[in-house]
Amino acid sequence: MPRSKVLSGRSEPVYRYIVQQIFSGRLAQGERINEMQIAEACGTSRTPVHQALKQLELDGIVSIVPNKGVEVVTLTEESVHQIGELQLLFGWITAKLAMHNGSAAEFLALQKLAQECRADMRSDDLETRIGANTRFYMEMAAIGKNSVMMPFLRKLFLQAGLVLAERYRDGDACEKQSQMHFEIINALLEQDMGKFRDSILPQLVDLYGIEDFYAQIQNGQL
Amino acid sequence: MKGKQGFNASQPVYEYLKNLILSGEMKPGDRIAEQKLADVLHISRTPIKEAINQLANDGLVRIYPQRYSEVMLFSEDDVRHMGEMRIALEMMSAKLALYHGSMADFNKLAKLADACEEAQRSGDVFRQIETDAEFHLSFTKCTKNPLLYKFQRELCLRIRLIQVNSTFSDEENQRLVEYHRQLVKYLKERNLASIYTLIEEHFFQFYKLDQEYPPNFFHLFRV
Repeated sequence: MPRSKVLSGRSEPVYRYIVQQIFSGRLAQGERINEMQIAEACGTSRTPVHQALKQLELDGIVSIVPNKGVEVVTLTEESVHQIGELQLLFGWITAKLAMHNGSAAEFLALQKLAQECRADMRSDDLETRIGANTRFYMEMAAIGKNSVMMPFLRKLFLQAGLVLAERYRDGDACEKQSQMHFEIINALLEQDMGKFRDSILPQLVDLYGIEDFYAQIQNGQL
Repeated sequence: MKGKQGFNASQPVYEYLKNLILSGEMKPGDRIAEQKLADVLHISRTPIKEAINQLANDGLVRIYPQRYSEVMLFSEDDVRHMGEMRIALEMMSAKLALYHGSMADFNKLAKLADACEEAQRSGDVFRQIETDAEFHLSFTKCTKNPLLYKFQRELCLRIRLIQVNSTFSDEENQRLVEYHRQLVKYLKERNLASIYTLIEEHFFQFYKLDQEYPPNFFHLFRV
């Protein structure tokens, strides 16, 4: 899972634990987070739990309401569309940069990763599936060699994870996503963004329900 | 972190430090003296650490865990990458602003373009940098996308840090003002080709990216 850069050694594992709980579905959207329970489960005091929650709030995964507590955010239809819009736009840009700045060797290494991810995306554990998908796209983006972009992508994928925690319950959807990884690599190897556009974008549009937005793009209105 | 009264002590520290950094008073590479700050402000180190964490999240400060933290120092590569990020966010904002933004939103944008021009005319460099950032933020606000807005805010903070520690010619300052004006004009006209060309040309020049990428490289969904 992508690492946060500001968490201490003690709060980082707590952060990862909470994300795991959320992405695996054990903590639902809108559910209260019991800090003491987390502290017990992680074998730490409440301080690292609190630090981890503060970072998760900055990352948009939980919301801290003063005097009330902490809860997992609830995604509205609108916020799912908003995440989808960014996945579409960043998906394009990262692929373009990877295609320009990457070598065949790097694309082939990415193919090996896609094979590993495919196995993980067949796992029974939701969080493993989500993690594998994220790992692939972050590695692809890294080939674009823009280090400034990576933390932004990490944040986007955390938000996307909330959406995928619903979508990936369907094993077929997950299998499709894995197939997309291989199609992306083909597009990269052939230096063909048209291939990327035709095989990947419609899938993303479908996943996030942003048909209207994409139709406007295809019509040349945007 | 809340004190006993529920007051968030780190927020004012955050604002104070952010100001020092974005005004150029603290320079890239300057160490942040946590204990000294704690003494001067008469608070514990905890809210200071939290404020520094927030600044690190903004990309304005680099933390060396268990050691110290310093004002972010950007390499040439970092600057170039930020330029790529700038174009990317601007292109994304354009597409989403055309979809989610209203004429009323674009009129607000025009007012900010005016404010930046006024600052440039009066030679107020700090105000010019500030209003330029406000323009980009307001532009991204037209997209109604909170995550994209967050990204733009973080990027703007880092770019302000670079700008306040650089010197620009009159010509460069004027080009900046002209960019705002033209962007608003084309947005209102929904002149797509002109919007995307303007964005790319402006930032290619600014960040010297024309040596790295061909024209139209950053035009989204254009094969």
